[in-house]
Formats: sequence, structure tokens, C-alpha cells
Amino acid sequence: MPIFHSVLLFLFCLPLVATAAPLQLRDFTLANGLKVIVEEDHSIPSVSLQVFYQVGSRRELSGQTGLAHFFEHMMFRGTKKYPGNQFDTVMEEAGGRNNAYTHRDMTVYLNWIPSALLGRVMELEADRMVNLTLEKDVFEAERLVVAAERRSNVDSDNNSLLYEQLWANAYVAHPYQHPVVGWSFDIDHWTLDQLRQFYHGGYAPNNAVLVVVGDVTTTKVREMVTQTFGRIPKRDIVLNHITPEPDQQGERRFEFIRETQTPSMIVGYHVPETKSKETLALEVLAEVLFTGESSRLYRKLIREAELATEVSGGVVLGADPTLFMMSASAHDITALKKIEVMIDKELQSIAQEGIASEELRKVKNGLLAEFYRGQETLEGKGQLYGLYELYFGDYRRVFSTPDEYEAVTSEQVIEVIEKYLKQDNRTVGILVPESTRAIKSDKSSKES
Amino acid sequence: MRKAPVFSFLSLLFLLLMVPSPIKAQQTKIIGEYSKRVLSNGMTVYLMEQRELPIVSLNVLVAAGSVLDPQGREGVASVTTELVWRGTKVNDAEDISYQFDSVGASLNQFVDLEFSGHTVQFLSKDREHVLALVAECLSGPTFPKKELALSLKQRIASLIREKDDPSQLVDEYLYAFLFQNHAYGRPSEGDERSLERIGQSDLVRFYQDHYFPKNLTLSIVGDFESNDMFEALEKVFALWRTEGHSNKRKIVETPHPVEKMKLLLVNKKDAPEAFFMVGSVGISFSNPDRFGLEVVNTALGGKFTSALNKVLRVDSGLTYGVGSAFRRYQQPGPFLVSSSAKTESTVKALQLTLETLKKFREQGISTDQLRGAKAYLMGQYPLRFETTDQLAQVIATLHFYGVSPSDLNTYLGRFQGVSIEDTRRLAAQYFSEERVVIVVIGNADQLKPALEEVWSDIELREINLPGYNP
Repeated sequence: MPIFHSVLLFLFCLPLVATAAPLQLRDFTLANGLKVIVEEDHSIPSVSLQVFYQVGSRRELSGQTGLAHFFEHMMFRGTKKYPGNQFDTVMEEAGGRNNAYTHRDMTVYLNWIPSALLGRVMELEADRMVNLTLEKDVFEAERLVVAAERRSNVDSDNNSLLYEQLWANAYVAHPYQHPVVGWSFDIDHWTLDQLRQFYHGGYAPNNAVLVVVGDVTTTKVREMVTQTFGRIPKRDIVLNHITPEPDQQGERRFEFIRETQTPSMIVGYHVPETKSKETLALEVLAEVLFTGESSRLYRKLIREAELATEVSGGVVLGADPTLFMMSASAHDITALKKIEVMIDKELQSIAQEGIASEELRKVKNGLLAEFYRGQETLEGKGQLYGLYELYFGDYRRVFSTPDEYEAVTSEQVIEVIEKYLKQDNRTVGILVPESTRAIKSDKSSKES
Repeated sequence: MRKAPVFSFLSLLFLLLMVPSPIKAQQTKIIGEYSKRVLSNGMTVYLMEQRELPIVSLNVLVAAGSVLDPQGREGVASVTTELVWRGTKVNDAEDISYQFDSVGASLNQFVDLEFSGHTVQFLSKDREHVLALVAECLSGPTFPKKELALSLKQRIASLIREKDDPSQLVDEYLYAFLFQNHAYGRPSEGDERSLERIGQSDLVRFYQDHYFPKNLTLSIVGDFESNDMFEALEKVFALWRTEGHSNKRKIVETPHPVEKMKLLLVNKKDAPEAFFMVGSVGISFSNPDRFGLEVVNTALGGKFTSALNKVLRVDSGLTYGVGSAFRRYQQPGPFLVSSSAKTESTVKALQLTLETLKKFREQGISTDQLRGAKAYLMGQYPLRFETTDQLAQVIATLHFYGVSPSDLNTYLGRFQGVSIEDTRRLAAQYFSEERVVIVVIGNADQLKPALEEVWSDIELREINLPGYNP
């Protein structure tokens, strides 16, 4: 199931006492442009080491979709110094574990390691930033793995396919229309040259942020970074241009007919990029509508009207203008139509009446609690710092955002509904059970 | 994403109980200090202070799980855990959810075969309000009929929806196929048929039988001072004095091992990918072989550089992910290998899986594999005890299985002492390429003829049929 990469997770409200950045949180930038963020946290003898590259699927051209994600896989398949799958074997045999994910805007590499392994993993990460060998037979073998990933994570799940269709329909020009995993055809047709071009164009110290959180000292980290990443020269970043999405001038609707017993719908409204000032109001709106059993749509659609079996939504993280999404599953197809009407009504009602201060308080408390939960793990903290650095250009904003959140008003929420959550600005997809269609066509053939 | 998660939450929970020591013994303690106390009403409470963040995680474990569901009404335990929060004499379901939401508290429930539980996470400043509400719901739920109806409707819809995404279901089919009429073969959350038979009186009965202070364990971890928190708990729970009858844990018989291989093919017509599981009967929670098996399993399919992943993904590209695990209960739970493959490659993927099991059975693991498996487990171990929620759950579950912290410390030595000879004996005893069951969910039109070329005992079932048992 696709998750909403919502800034919700990373925005929160300040308690009565202001939160300052931890004293043990520092940063420095190397001459080659690599920004490094370090937090000393000795609660467990582990380190979370994360590398964020500012390159994702939005840098792909049509016909080469999925390349960024494929490249993420290839980062584990060998350099001159660490050939084959030594990145994994060296790490796991010393007690470490790793993973990675590709997003539309970025690719993120995560490592969970014992503190003693820090120097070695720095070396491994620096090495693969520039020294991958990208061999043909390995390339072909990994292609199969990505094809398998697409089949098991997307093609086998109707709702994942519906999500993919929504983005492809909502964006007619901008590369956000591409599925991150890539279209099947493109997966089968990537070339090694395209991959090399991608690597050399986007993977460089001056296009990356390194985050280290855990049982370390800043001095030691600085030393290790200098010895490893420090040796890599700055590079020209050469990436494909991004065609901006033209304003949507009317509602788009599509059907997606599949073998299913569960009709569902998905909606996307165009909204500004994450760093816009209006994002906070949109996050508050999402919380009001979807979060918790007392949220408006859960209560009205699931409990009171008993029309929906599931409902969710939120703002998707985006470096470029992005989507505010909603989705709902129902018992039958006629219920979906009613759900749409009720959602519209709810939005109108908020636009007319605003949100009462008690409800706003509830929402802000929820976000505060989530903020703290996100900081319970070393990984969670590292993710916060890295994402803030990439999307806002300043990781320290993690600690000042609470003030901004506290300042969100009912009027601001009304404004974003009026500006963005309108019919002309939305794309709606319906997952239609094949059996429903069979009944319809039976009826019509009987009537003719 | 590069790697799919290898374990389900519950099997991870069991993994947590197997923890070895870190490579460098920087800490002699596996988890920090905590105190055990008993409320005046008899409820056992475990308290651990963790004051880095102003949050608290509370875990209430009930010594009753889905094996206690009445026959034909599987799902009672699960629905009961959910509906505890859906109405008391004072507050209805909407009031309760509003009160929790308004302070940003998050609430979850879970059901396992042998226990069930509730977790609540909240900000320490909201302690009074949250604890009062928790006590009110645990001690006096009314199980309103309309809430039951709504819950059942949603659950059935959810089961139907899950049939669209077979990766979630292989587990259910496997348990049913492996354990057959044994208690462990009944679905923990029920199925479409059993859920429809559940009535209010089932919930009331389950609650009366199992929800009383002496049958519950409350563990609480976070931003508080222990004596203070104990007093706060005493205050809210003081009036809940139900004695309950002394609870005998249900006697579950030992499951039969697999005599000969059989395969269940579940038809999902348009599936591009087949999801499969290979299973056999493993070990019980208290089996002394569990230490060695944890090591061997890590080498087999418990990490990315495992033997199974090498064969099925790294070397052949047949699958995106493969994992193996032992799940342990009072009686032996399953040993499972789980993966998926393109329809055309499913037979090959299954054969490679069985060959790997055979190789382990015949040759065991190498000294390199042994060293690597131990290092991996030790290095990843501290991450299991990072959050207040993880700690609260582990403490409660340890208690349920009769493990105390000092026991854990002896485990370290036992784990490190697993020898190559041990691993050979264990692999020979517990892995088999023949005495297994196999479940495959996929396009039967294509899979059936291919599977029949290799295996003879094949049962066929349509995915849209209710439940998981023919």
C-alpha cells in the first residue's frame, strides 16, 4: 500500500516551553560541498548513518522511468574496491544492516550499525558515491529483481495500481507522472549508458547530505568524513530539466476496471510544493479530516453513514508542486458516489464555518505527539534532519516549525480549501469491480 | 525500496526474546532497570523510567489469545480487544476516541494465539486524563451491539479487500494448512463465516472470563518517576476489584509434525506474481534449542546476506525478497520460509528453496556463516530496545512467557556458546525438504500444470471462498 510521504510526520507543535535544538547537534560543510549533520546520542551503542541524494524519479525522462530506483539497487552491486555484494557482506558480517528508498525528489540510503563500524561504513558510502563498476551481467541480474519488485509490490495489488494511475493522470507534463519503480516496459529496456549518465550527473558530494546520529563524537565524525568523502572532488551536477506542470483547467476522472470485490476511489488535488507557506494549513486540514477515529471523515463516512470501510489522506512530500490526496474504500460502487458527495460537503462546510479552536487544539496536540514519537529512534531523528535539509534548506527548522504550526489559523485553512480543493483542480480515479461492469452490460443487452 | 521487511511484527517479537549480547560488552545489562509491583487489586505492574522525551508507552497484556475463541466463532478475542474501547457506562465510543485524540494519544490493540493486548502512547503531561480513561475502559466496557455490528462489517470488508492483495494472506493459508484441526490452525482474526456468528454475549463472556486484574499485566515505560506513576495507577484502578476465576491457560496439545509433503494452490486468476510459503512444525517457546536455531535461521534466511536470499535474489533475480523464521508459542509453532516469484518461475523458486533446506539439513552451516550470523544478531540487537513502546511490549511479553531479566542475562552466554556442532545437529533435526507443506497463491491455470510435473499431492482452492480452510 503506498503511504503518503506527508510532511505531517515532520511537522508538530511546540509545547508550552519552547524546544531548542539539542546541544549535541551540529553541522559542517566540506570544501567539496557535502553537508554533514551530526547528533551525539549515546542511549544505545549504535549509529544511524544516512545519505540523502537530491536526485529522484522526477529527474527521469519518459521512456527511462524507474532509472533512479534501479540505480538505488545498483549502488549495492559493487565497486572496484568492494566488488560483488561486498557492501552487504562487509556490513552484515560486522553487525550492520542497511536499506534504501527512492522517492520522486531524492534517494536515501540508510545504515543501522554498531558504533565500532562507523569508519568502515563511511568508507563504503564514500566509495560507492563515485566508484561503482556497473557491470553488464550484474545490471541484467538486478533488472530482474526490480521487475520482481514491481510485480510483487505494485502489479499484485489493485490499490497500488490505482495510486499509480492517479499520478499518471494528474500530471500530464511533469515527471511526477512517472511511477517511481518505473513502467514495466521501461524496466525491460534500460541501457547501461543511461545508467552511467544518471550516476555521473547526479551522484556527487555537492548534491548530497550526510546525517549521522548516535553513539559518536562530532570530532571523530569530522575526521572520518574528511578522510573518506573529503577526498571526492566536487562535480558539475547535470540533470534532465523538469517540465513544469501546466495548471489543471478542469476535473479529470478515470475508471480502473479490475477483478476485485472492493470498489475504491482515489483523489488528488494540485497544491504547492512542500516548502510553500501554505503547506502547514494543508497539513492541519488533513489532520482534521483523516487522523484518528474522531476525525471528520472517519466519523462521518465510516461510523455514521457506514458508507466507507477505510478512508485516508494527506499532503504528499514534494520539491515541486504536489498533491493533496484522499482515498476511500467502500462496500459497493454506489456508496463511492455518495462518499464523494459527502467529502465535498464537508470541505464546503469547513470553508464556510472554519475550524473551532478546540478542534484546532486537538489537531495540534496530535501533531506534537507525533513529533516526539518520530524522535524516539536514531533513525527517526536522522530522517527528520535530512528531509528538512532537503526540502527547506535548513535542518534546524525542525525546531522552529512548532511556532509556525501554532500560528496556523482557521482562516488559513479556509483559504487553502478555497484555492486548491476545488473540483476543477482535481483528478479522481475509481477502482471498478469487473463484475459490476458485467451486470451493467447484461442489463443493457437485455433492454435493447 | 530495496528490501522488503523480512519478519512480521509477531515473529520479530519472538526474535526480541532471543537477544544475545553486543560484541563489545559495553553494557552488561540488556535492558535498563525496572521495577515490578502489584496493585492492591492484584494487577502486576512493571515500571521503567525513560526520560529523554516527554512521552509514555503503556502496554496491557491479557493472558488470553485467539486459541480461546469458541469453536466456529473465531475472532472473538480480537473483537473483544477492539470493543473494550468502544463504550462504557460513562462514555460512548465517540466520546472515548475524541478524548484520546484530543490529547494526541495513540491507541492500538493486538491479538496473538496465546495473549492479546492494548498499547497506549501519550504525552507525560496528559497522564491523569489518559490513565483514568484507560482504567474506565478496561474495567467497564459495555460492548454496545451497534459497535459490534460496525466492527464486524468493517472486518469482513477488510478480509474481502485483503483477497485483492495476496501477499498478506499466505500466512493465514499456511497456518490453516499446516495445523489443520489443531488450535493453531484457526484464524486469529476470524474469517467471513466465523465473524458473522459473533454476538454480544460472546464478547461479554470472553471479557468476564479473562479480563480481571490478576490476569492482566501492565507495563509502562517513559517520562515519569516510578513511585509517582505507581500511585497514579493505584488511584485509577483501585475500584476494579473483580476476582475472576483462577485462569487456567488452555491446554493446547502438541501439533503433529508433517508426515509427507503436500501443496495447497490457491487460485488468484490475474495474479502476475505467485506468493508462496514453505512450512513445517518448529519449536515451542521454552525449547532449549531456540538459541542455536536463532543463529542458524539468521544464516538461512534472517538477513539480506542469508543463504536463501543469495540463491533466490542475489544470484538469480527470481524474487524481490525471501525470509525465514521460527514462531514459537506454548506449543511448537511453525517454521516458515516466505517468498514470491513470477508465475513462470515459481516451480524453480520452490525447488531452490527446498534444495537450500536440504543443503542445510545435510551439511549444516560453515564457521564463516556461524560467525556472520552471530555478529549480525549482536550488532542489531540494541535497536530492539530503543523506543518506549518496544520496551513496554517486551517487558509484558517476557512476563507472559515466564522470563525475567536475569534469565536474559544467562541467555547471552548460551547464545555465544552455540557451536558449529550444535548448528549441524539442529539443522539436521529441524530442516527438511520433504516433510513440509507448501502454499502457493497465484494464477492456477498456469501454475497447476507446472506444479504437477514435480509434485503429486496438490489441493486446489479459489481465493474468493470464505476462510482459509477447505
